[in-house]
Amino acid sequence: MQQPDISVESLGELAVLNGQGERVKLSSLWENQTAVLVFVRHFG
Amino acid sequence: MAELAENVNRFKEKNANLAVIGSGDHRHFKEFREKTRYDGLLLSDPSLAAFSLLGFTGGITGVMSVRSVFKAVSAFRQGHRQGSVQGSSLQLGGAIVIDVSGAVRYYFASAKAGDHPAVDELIRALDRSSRSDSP
Repeated sequence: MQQPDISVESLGELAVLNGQGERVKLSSLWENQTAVLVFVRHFG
Repeated sequence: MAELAENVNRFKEKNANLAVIGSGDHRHFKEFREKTRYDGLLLSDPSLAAFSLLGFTGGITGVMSVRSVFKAVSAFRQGHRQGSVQGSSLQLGGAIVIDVSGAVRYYFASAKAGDHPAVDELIRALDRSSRSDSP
């Protein structure tokens, strides 16, 4: 699949949940280090 | 997932922030960790907003391709068991590497279920990224 025109800025504004159910802003993941984000289809 | 779980330290050695993001309930993280032995950062995107923005969404054709069925059978034979499915079964996975400047250094979208980037490919992306940062 071709890489879509990704807006990293928009992506960074999104929040995901950590193990405690707390919101984590995605941009915080590449704030200080290069981030490798692996998206898995499901937990199972 | 098993390959990634076994190579978490390689990402640490590269000073990279590795995160696995799924779409299921964060209360299933413990079960996921037990099954996969992945002990790195685990996050959930239940709204699928990030999946969608990154184009990691697919329909039933991607999820149920013939190749993915063969892969599932092969994984089963090797002893890997998929437990109860937690999360959306209709989105696909993928990977992205983003450096501190916000530049995308690597992008991979799964075309089918079971399709994922090799750890070596992700490590090479980190190497390329650090080389281009060097003065």
